[in-house]
Amino acid sequence: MACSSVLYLLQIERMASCEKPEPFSKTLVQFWMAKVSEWSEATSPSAQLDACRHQEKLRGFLQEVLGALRLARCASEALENLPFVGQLLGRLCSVPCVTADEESSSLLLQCLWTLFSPTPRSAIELKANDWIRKTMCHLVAADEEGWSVMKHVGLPSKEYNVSTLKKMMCLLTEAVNGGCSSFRSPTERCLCDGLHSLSLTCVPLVTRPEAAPLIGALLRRSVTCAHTQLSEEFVEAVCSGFLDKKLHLDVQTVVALWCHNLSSLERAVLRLVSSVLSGPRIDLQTLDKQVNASLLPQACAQRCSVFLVVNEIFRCTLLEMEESSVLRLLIQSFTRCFLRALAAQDPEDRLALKSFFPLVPVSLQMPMLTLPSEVPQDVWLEHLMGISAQLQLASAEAEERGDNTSGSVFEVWFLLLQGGGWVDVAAQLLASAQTHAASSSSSSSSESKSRALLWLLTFFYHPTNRGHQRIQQWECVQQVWGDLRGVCLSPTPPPPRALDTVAESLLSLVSSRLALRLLLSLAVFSPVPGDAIALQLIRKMSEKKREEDEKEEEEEAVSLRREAECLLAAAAEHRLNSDTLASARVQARLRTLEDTLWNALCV
Amino acid sequence: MEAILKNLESTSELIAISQTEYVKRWDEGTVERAFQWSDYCEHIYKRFNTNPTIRTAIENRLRQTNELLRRTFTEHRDFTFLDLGRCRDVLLVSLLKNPACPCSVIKVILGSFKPNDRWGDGPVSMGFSDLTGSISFKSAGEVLRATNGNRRDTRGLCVEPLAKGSILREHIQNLLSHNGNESLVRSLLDSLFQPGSENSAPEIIAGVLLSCEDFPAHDVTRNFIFSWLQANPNSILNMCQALPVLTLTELAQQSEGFWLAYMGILKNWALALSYDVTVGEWVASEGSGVPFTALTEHFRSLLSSGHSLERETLRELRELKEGDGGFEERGLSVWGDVLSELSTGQRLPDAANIL
Repeated sequence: MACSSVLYLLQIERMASCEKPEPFSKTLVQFWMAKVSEWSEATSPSAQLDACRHQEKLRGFLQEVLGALRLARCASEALENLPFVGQLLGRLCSVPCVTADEESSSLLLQCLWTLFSPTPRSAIELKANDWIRKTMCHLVAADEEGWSVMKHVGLPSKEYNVSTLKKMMCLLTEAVNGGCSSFRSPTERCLCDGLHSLSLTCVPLVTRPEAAPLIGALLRRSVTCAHTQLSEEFVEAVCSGFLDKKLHLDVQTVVALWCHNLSSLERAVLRLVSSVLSGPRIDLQTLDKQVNASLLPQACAQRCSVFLVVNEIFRCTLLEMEESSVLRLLIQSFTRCFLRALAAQDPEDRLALKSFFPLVPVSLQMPMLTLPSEVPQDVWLEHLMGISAQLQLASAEAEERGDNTSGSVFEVWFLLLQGGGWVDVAAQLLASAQTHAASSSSSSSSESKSRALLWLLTFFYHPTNRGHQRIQQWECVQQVWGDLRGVCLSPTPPPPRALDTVAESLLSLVSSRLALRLLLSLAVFSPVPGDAIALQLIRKMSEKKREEDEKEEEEEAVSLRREAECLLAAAAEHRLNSDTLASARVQARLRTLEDTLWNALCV
Repeated sequence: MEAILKNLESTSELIAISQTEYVKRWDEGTVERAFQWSDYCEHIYKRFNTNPTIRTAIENRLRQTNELLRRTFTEHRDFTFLDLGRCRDVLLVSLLKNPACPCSVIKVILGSFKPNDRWGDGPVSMGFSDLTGSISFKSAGEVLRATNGNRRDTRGLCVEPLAKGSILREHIQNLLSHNGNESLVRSLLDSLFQPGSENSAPEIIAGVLLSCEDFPAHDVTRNFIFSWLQANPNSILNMCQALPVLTLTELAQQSEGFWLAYMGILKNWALALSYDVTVGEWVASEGSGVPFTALTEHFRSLLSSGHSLERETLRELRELKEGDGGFEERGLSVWGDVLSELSTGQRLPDAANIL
């Protein structure tokens, strides 16, 4: 499985080919002239494939040529600077693979136009003009010998060419669709072994919209009939074209592509991950749009096997990039889109959630995968109590069974991550709880509820018993939380030393992200005047951090900043659930926080 | 109507001039107007080409104009009614090929090729929107054609003649759906089988017939073509010589008349064979007919086609064998030998079962 070095693969995805040699060096010109001769002389499919492989680079080269031609003051000068250009353009115009690509065609025509002199002043310019006129005739006119349908029906060449291509595609698609029948007798051979060569011929045409039905037919056939072998070049061309958004496929075809070729699925996931990770700021709605555009959630809803592979890739990626908060948001977004795609399916076609999450206890699946937006707000606390209790149970069971069952704890934790909305809700509820009089009975139950929420958050940021300090850690967290609440909700403003102590104890928590989460939640959701104090604490903490470890500051600050960004984005999303008055207040606080954070965490 | 005819007359004069030295007086404005008029011609063609009265009127006027132009310009190439439908292409090629056409005019034309992304100064109304599109479609077709040239479908035809045939069928169907166009379609089919272009004719006609589906409109077209074929037996011979066996069987299934003609041709070919005792084979006399093996293949295909055609062909073969004396020995009747060739390896249905 490729995800053993996911980071490496991501780097490759991000790396563009950065070589930019001098545009018209002798070797480069020789290279292209040799290639072009090869293509114009051979008519075999392999020569075609070579032309397709170089299509992108050829376009780049033609852009350079065009640029150089435009700079010249007249055609003679252009021909002097680029003596090879006549032969190059002439030969390229006679390679159908090249001219079938609209962009390359356009570049070729522009080059020819630039070289054409409206007022030729020398013999060479006259010759060039003649040659260009001949080439244009050849490109434009129908050179059909004998009786021509086009001429005898009286069709303009554009209409005729469009019709012919569309009909040919249609006929080939029908042939593919009809060529294999499940009711065929076992002795009869289906015609599917001819599809390899057909798929090879489609490689130059993969990005044409007319070819989409044929591509779909070929891919779907490859999944239903074992005799079908599609050419690797074809699959590669379709995969790259789809990832580069040069061709649009429907969900069925994409599912067939991914089922047929596992590495194309891996690439699709990695492409999504790398594009999200390298994006600027996090915006949940854009994130959801990006995820949906990749067609991964829809494909996963249709095929359980695809979902399991994608989930596995996410798991591996997460293990390698534990600290990436953006990745976590992506996983949440993906799960959200996936669940929506699942819900949108026909109830008859829908698979049970169990099949998608085989390693998680059924009792946890429904509660954790129900989106907070689907549960009425007054039930949120109860819902979370249930989840917290289940998680504590699962965690305790795992501990009893010994260390080698950390896998099951991971699965449960991963599910919590996927249905991430609940963690945000837990933080929100925890932070917005009011203090009650110490001795009332309701306060003890509300205390236990707060404790359960706190436990959930601690579990989320520190799921495993690494270092075997769990009990100590838990005590520490409760203590810190108590102090924090005390400081923030005290009726009188706390003395600065108290703030210092609290700040230090926060910093001593194993998970700095838990600390950040607690602080930010208080800053956004706590009743007044807790938020102001929380803000002060944030400033203090970042100062202290900077004093302490100057060397590691950069990375830590960046990752903390990303984390803060993500948390704020999530908070902004969830504020939509609360009533308008509260949401206005939250909105204002979010703005203040953003400013503070930018100043505090990025100097 | 007269206005239209006048305009067409003027346009054909314009096209004529574009092929002569007088084009050197043209400038950007002239050429723009020429293309606008060509566009107009294309619209007229599309609108009226199925209307026999108007078409005749236009053809007459064009004929008159052509006569006049021939007197003025010695190398005048007639501008026909069909050219109207492709007027802009005709004009473009005339200008490109004419050495007298000023370079500045060519420059303007070339620059108008992509109005959405104009990198020339050509006016939008030049009408050559999306030439790159046209070229890329043409090349894409060539790519498919070059690599799928030998891929035949279950009915034996390649993808290109089927596509062309389909386009032609649509046109014929369109014509036949309006009254008075029968003779035009007949002359169209005549032109298809004219000497010189016979190579592509069988495949294209087969393409037309095989692209007909089960709609009443298609039936009209199919019947018309089959009756034209009956009236032109040479064409059927041509087809039997050129087309794959599967295709001929398919056509025989579509029309009984075709089947009869087909059988007639096969009989003639069989009669041209004589048995060479020294070699033990049926050989074609003077190399004119078709070899025995090929003949057998034709019948093999007919006999695996489907019930009624199979039945009829088998009955026919048996009758012919009886007519020759009904002998079982090899070498006495070509029909007997064909039958015995076919029955090895394939159990032919009993007479009792079919009849």
